[in-house]
Amino acid sequence: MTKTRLFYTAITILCIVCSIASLYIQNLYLLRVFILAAITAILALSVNILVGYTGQISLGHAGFFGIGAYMVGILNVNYHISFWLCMVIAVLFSGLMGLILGLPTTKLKGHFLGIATLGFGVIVNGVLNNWMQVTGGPQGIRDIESPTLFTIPLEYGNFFLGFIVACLSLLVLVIYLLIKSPIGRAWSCLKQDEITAYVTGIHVYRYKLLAFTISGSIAGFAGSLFAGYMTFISPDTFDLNQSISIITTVILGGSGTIAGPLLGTALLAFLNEWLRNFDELRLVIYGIILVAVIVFIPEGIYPFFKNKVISIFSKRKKASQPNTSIEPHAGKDAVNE
Amino acid sequence: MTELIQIIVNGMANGALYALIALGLTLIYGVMNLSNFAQGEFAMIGAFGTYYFMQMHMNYLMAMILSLIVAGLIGFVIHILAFHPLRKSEPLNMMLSSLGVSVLLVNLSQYLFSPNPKVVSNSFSEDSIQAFGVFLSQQRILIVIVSLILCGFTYWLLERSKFGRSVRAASLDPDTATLYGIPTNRIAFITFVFGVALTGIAGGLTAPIYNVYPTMGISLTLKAFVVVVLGGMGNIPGAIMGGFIVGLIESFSAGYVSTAFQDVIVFSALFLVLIIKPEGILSKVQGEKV
Amino acid sequence: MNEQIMKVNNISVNFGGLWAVKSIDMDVKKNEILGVMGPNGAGKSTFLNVLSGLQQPSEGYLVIGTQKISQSKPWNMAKLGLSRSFQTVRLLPELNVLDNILIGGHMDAEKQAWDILFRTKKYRQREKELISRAENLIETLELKDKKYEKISKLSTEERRRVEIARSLMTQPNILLLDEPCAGLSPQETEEISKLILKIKEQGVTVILVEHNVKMIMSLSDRIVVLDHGQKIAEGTPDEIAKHEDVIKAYLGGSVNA
Repeated sequence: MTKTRLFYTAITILCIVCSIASLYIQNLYLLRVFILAAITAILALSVNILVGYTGQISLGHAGFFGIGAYMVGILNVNYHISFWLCMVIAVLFSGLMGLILGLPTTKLKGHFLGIATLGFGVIVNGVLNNWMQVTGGPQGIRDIESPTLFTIPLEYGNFFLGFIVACLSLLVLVIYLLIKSPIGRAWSCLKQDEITAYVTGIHVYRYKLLAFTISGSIAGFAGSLFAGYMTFISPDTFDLNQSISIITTVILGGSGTIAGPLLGTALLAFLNEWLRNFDELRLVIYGIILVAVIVFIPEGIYPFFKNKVISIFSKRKKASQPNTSIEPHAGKDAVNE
Repeated sequence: MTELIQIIVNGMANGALYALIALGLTLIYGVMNLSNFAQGEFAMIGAFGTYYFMQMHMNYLMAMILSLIVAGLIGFVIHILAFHPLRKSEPLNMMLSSLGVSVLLVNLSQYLFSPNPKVVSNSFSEDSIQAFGVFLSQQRILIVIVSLILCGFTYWLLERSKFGRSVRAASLDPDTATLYGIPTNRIAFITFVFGVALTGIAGGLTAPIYNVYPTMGISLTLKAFVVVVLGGMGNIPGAIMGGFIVGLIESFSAGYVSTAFQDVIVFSALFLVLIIKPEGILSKVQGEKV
Repeated sequence: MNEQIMKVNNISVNFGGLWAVKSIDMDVKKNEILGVMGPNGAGKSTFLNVLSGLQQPSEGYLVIGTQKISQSKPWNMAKLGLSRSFQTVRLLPELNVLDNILIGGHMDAEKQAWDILFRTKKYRQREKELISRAENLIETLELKDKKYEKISKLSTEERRRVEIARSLMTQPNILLLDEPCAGLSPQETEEISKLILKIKEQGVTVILVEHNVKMIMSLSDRIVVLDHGQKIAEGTPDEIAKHEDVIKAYLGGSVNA
């Protein structure tokens, strides 16, 4: 027990250090990369709730991201509502959209769910692009107010990064608590076996809807942060490519773990910067790497290395003390089969 | 009245095209349990192939045949590298792999051929037939005819031939099929190459009507998915029917609402169908494929 | 002993024109072991699926306690005090024994967002209770040294025990066991039989579907025999052993097996 407590204290300190350190980054370009990576990390966490913990595919998450961002943009620019209130409304509204998307799609499975959620993304993008009076069409929305937090102007990148790292840490904590709670247990049960979930009295549809709602609202939160940071939004940020890149981030990092999506975000952000050296071939190489990782490490990078480390350690243990627990059952199993 | 007929005719022509792409998609899904998001990219390859072969002064037919072979070959290589190693893994991984392939192919062709649209002109594309006040380009007629012939051929292949029997066995229960000596891996290979080549033909057929450009495949993939879901996964008559439905919805929404909202309306229709009948309009009652 | 706990009223299930289960009536009495037997394809599994809510009956209804249920959602059946095991064990292979059993405690867990996010005292108390309940079950089912073992590392018999433990974790009034001894050796069958009697002693009603005729005859208080989806006999084990239709259905031989 003390070990875990030590671990959490370490992580908390790390988060605080990150938040403070972010105030001292001088390079503006680097700052921007970090902020966008943090927003992507929030998105990845939100997709992970569906893909990793509940076993539902979402290929339309850019839709929620866009809804969050546009909610802030429209309310702030057209109706002059303060940024923070806009953010609350955006989170609630995208959560509601998650619920609405969930209502018909919780009955679907696998590929059908993938295509339905993809359709959701396409519909949202189509509306953003074409409902000129409200969304401004392809030109998007300009001059969104930069938020101010208790007199700290977040238009300075350093402050914004500090704020966003704090948000991210808080979110990780919330998700961790959820996953370890009976809700998380119910999710993992219905992910692995719905029939088991039925007979243990888990209201499967309600829990799926809950996952859709939470996931949608977190993505909307990421969207409102994006709008607040960029102060300019246009539909092409929220297209199919975005949805795909979010889900690949999660899967590459390792879905169903908390560290996985974060690691995936970090790796892909780094990869993206590194690939800038290759100019036009950038996305070609990106595609190759994507396929290569899925072919060679389908379970994701984080679980892969974690298992590697565990197996190294357990080998050592086995070497020191001959295994006692496995032997008697080997024979029994053979009889049963 | 003629306007209405025009809309219907245009819708049918596009629908036949979607049906052809969806046919490849649904075959691949049926045998490999793969939602191939790179399907439209093979139409792009077919279209580029047709364009470049015609630049070499070949006639349209020759260029189409060669480009379908090219699409098939590229499909073969991709299957070896990106899908064959994942055959025992979760379907989700295969799907992601296909997304990676899609990114790769789109950007590679952007690098090689530049993003600028290219125009293919053949002897058919200029002429159009006028009957009862309805215009129909010969190219569109060609599309409908070729699509229907290929769909019919595929149907015959699956339902009547010995090869088709093994394909159906492999798609229903790969393990049992293997026990009965059906080479499921080889069948997956052949199906993938065949499905992708069909899509390559579709690309060659569209080339003279729409321009040829690297990202053209994406919207075709999306349409094909809608078609497949509407018609029921792995169902050939369903795919043809679904193709016509999507084509008609599209041309009606272009005619009466606006071109911009086309995709929104098509996908809303998809949602409607999924809510009412999750297994697709034409699918027979059957257990889900586990 | 004679108090009725569940009533099955005229239940029928139709699969595309084929009656898998046809007009079955029966009563389940409190704290008895009710055996359900029948040859292959008699409709036992379908019938059990109806009882546990996984299959909607085409006709008829159930009465549990005072509630009449005709078209029920599967998750409600667990709330009505019905739990079941499966012929092929359904557990979550990636989790350990304790976590698998804890899933059975879902209905009694604290699920308020507020309590979870702030880890209130009430929540921690509740979780602690659930864990100690699960640990008690682990003890009674003799799984103690396997508590943190992953399911994929257990033997078939141990998996059956874990599944039964999970069912008991829901604190059922009625426990449905679907061939709990399929694939087990005679020794292990003996162990499971003892376990079933122990469960009965704790006041749980058991509905036992089993292929092993010897076992079902020795354990059950009453037996219902199904054939071709219909109830052909009902009574004490002795009555069933002499029943003409039953012998006919089993073609004489296997009753003595």
